[in-house]
Amino acid sequence: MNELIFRSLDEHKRALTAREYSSEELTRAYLERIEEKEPSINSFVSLCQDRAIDAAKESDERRRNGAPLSALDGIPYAAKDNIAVAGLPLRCGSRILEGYISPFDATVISRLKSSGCVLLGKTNLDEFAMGTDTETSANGRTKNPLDENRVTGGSSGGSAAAVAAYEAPFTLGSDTGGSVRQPAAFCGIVGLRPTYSALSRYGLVGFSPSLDTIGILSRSASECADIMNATVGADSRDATSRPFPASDLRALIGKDVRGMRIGVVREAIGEGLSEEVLEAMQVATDTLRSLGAKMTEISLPHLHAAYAVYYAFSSAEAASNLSRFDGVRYGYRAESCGSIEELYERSRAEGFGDEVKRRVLFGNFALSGENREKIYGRAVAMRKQIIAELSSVLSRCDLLLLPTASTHAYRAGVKKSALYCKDDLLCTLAALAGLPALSLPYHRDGKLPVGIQLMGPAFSEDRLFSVAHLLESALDRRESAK
Amino acid sequence: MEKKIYKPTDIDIERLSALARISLSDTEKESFSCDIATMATYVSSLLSDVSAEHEREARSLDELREDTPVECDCARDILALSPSLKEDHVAVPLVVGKDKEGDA
Repeated sequence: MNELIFRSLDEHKRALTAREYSSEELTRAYLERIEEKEPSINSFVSLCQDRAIDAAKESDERRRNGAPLSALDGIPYAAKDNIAVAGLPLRCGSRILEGYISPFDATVISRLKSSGCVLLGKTNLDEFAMGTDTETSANGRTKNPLDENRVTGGSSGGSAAAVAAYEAPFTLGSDTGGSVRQPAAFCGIVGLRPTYSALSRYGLVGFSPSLDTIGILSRSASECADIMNATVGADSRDATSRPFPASDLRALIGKDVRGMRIGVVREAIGEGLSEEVLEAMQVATDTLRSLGAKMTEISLPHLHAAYAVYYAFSSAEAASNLSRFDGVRYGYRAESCGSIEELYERSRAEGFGDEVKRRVLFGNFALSGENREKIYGRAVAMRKQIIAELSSVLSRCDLLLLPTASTHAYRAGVKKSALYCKDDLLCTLAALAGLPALSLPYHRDGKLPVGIQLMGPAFSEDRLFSVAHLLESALDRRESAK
Repeated sequence: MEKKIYKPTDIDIERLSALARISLSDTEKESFSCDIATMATYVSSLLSDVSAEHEREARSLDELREDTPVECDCARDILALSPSLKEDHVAVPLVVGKDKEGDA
C-alpha cells in the first residue's frame, strides 16, 4: 500500500509545492486504495480513473511551469452522486435515474476544477439523499470503515466513508437536515454544513430547496476551510446564492476564543444521549472554558419540534421536486404502458425505493385538504418560532455547542426509515434556520467516535473553523494521536 | 391546540397514490397507510403548541397577490425555448451544448 494516502491535505499541499511527489503519484495512490477498499466498503458508485490521471498530469505540468492554479492544484477528491459532473452518471442512489449522464458540471465542481482539484469519482448516498444510514441506495449499502457491521450515517455516507477509509483526502456531500454532519460524526471526521446560500447549488439534485446545501467532509477544520475558500461565493446560475463576506477563511483561523460567549443548549443535553456523547460535550466545554471562552447554558424551548418541522417541510418540497422524475425525461421508463398516466405511475412505482415513496406520499398528505393548514401550515409557523428563538439566543452568544447525534454509529439494518429517526433533531435545527454548523469527531481508543456540533449565525464559518481548530487536539484522546 | 391521533383508516391512500403519481400494490397501500398515520400523529402532536402569533404570521403567507401582466422585451426569446409539436413527437430546443451542436 502506498503510504501517501495517510498524509493530511496540508502535507499534500506542501509536498506538491516542494515537488516531493507529483499529483499523478498521489492520484494513483488514492485510486489503488479505492481498488483495495471498495469490495468491502462500497463508498463509490462510479470512478473516472483515466480522467483523473489526465487531470493530475495537467496539474503536474502546471507546477513544472510554475503556474499552479491554486494551493489545492493536484489534490484529489470525490463528490456525492447527487452533484452533477459532465460526462459521468448521475443516479442519486435511485433506479429512476438509471443510465442518466449529466451534460454539465455543477458550479462547485467547476470551481474545484478551476482550482486544479482532481475528481476521482462519485460517492454513494441514500436514495435522493433521503435517509440517515446510506442503506436506502439502489447501489447497495455503504459500510462504515471503522466497523463494517455498522452504518456510515447518511445520506452522505459514501462521502464520509471515502474520507474515513483514506480513499480521498476530502469529499463533497449535501446536507438537508444533517446529511453531512451525522455521517461525519459516525465516521470520525469533520463535516460542514455551510450557511444556506454560501455555496451555489447549481447542479445539485436536491429534494428540499428551502433546506438543501452542499457540504464538505474532511479530516480537519482547517482543511475544510481550504475547500470552502475554493467553492464559496455567489453564482448567477443559483438565485439563492450570495457573496461570502470573508475572502480567506483559512487565514482567519487562529483567533483567540477568550471572551467568546458559547451557549450550551440545555434541551440538547441529558436524557437519550450516550455516555460517550456526554463525555465529548464535557471535554469540549472544559477545553473552551480553559481557553477563556464564557460557557453559558441557553434554552431553545421548541427544539423538540425541529424534526417534525423538518419532516413536514422536506416531504412537502420533495413531493413537488421529485415530480419531474416521471419516466419521460430522465432515466428509467416502465415498459408496455397503455397510457401516459400509466407510464408516469408505473415508472415512478418501479423507479423509486420505499423511503422516497413514503416521503412523497407524506408530502402530498401534508399539502392536501385540511392538512394543508393543520400540518404544513403549522410547520411553517413552528419554523418561524424556532428561528425566532435561535435568533434571540444568537444575539447573546457567538456560537452554540450541541451534540451532532445522540450516539455513535448504530448497527446496520436497525433503523429502517425516517419514522425511526426522531433523534436527528439535533442536526435539523441549523437546517431550518439556514445557519452554518460543523461536526467535530471525539475519538477514544477502543470506542467508536461520536460528534459534537458547533453552530453560529449566518456567515460565521470563520468562528466555527477557529473554535473547531482549537478543540481538535483536545477531542482526540487516542494514544496514536499523541 | 387540537392534538389528533391518525389511524391508518384516516389515510386516503388511493388519493395520495394518485396525487403522487405512484401506483401501489395492496401490500404497499397497507404499509404506507400505517407509516403515514404514525408520522402524521407524531408531526401534528409536536406542532400543536405553536404560538398564535407565529400561526397568524404563517397564515399571512397564504394570501396570494393577483397576477398582473407586464410588458416584457424578451418574450420572443422565452417563447423560442418552448417545446413544439412536430408530426408525431414533441421537439424540445437544445439548451446544454447548444453552442457546439446547434438546435436538436
